[in-house]
Amino acid sequence: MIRFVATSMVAFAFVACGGSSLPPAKVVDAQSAITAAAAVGAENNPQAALHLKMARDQVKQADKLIAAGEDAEARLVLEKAQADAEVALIITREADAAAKVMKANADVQNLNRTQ
Amino acid sequence: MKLSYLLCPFALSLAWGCASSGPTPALLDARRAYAEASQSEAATYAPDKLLTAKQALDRAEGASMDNPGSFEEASLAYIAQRKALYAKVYGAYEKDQRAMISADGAYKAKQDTLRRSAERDASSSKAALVATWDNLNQANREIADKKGELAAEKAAREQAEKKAAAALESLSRIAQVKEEQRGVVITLDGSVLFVTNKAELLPIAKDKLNEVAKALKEMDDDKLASIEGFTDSRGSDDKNMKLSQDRANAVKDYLISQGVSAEKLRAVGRGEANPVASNDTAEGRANNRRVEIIIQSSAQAAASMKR
Repeated sequence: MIRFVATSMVAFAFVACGGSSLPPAKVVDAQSAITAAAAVGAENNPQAALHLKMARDQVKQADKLIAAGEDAEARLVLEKAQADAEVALIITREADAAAKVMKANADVQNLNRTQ
Repeated sequence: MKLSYLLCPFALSLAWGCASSGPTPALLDARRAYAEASQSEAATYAPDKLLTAKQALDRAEGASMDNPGSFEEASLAYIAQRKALYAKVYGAYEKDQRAMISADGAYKAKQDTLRRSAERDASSSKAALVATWDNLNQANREIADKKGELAAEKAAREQAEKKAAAALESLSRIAQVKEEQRGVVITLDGSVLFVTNKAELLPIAKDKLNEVAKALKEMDDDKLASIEGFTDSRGSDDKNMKLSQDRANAVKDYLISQGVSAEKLRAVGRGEANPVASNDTAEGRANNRRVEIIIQSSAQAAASMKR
């Protein structure tokens, strides 16, 4: 347990410095999910942006928990962060897909009217 | 501040655990979210995500059983709620993806149909255009041919008219030629054509009639020649009529022998009718004894037949 907390803290220290070669999996998963959500434009979708903000806040919270040695709680908070980031990602993708479907159906209707 | 922030969830969990034996609001939210997801498109399009959500909910339920009101239970319930939401939205996303594929397929199929239709239209339009173009070319060729024919006809007619005019000109040197309403009238003196009181042509007459034959052969095909014989008033009418007819016939026969088409010739005896001079004098009677060859158009010939 002590070893895990120490590893996590070291990993966080490395992440903060940008020099970690092997960050803790939970941190990496949460950060990766946040990065992926941001990359698809989650910040431009109000509902997705809200989940993205919660995910980022939770990572900060986990950072504090790790700093406080609350490793188990930090793991749960990182899982929450990852879940929120994944929700932000899928909400963004679904909104884009729905818009594309609407446009495609309109295109089909327009094409049908051209004959 | 930091300590209270960290301890707050634990305190709340502890308070909830002491105050109630039922599920936490977070777990209720998670259950509700999973129920919604199970009724959504996720059941059809994202069963694996739904399974993940169910496992997350089971984990939360387990925590609720083991550590009711704990931070772990609240966190796992939160995560289960998010996993259920994720499954629900993922189902909608998958449905969108398939709808997109379907719409793309419909669009492409419609495009193909329209393209084939346009190709057919273009093909038939091209064929129609080619046919029209061919017809136009054919019409142009026919017009050019017709123009050529008309020009040739005009040239031939002008040439024929020139020849006819030249023939009449040469004829005017041996006979009287006049343009009258009934046609071009060539008057030949009877005394130089025939033996007295006979219908026998004199040798000199043949020279003159050769010129006449030449002129008649130059005539247009639609022209006719009416050969009319006239006498003076001496002798009986019957005899004069017969003599004038015989003389007209003699002239006609000779002209036919010189190559003039018989169909273009008509011989008529007029007897002593239509004198051109007085029969009281020898000179007048000589003028009345004559043969007139009238070159006529068909209409002029039909009018003179009535006379």
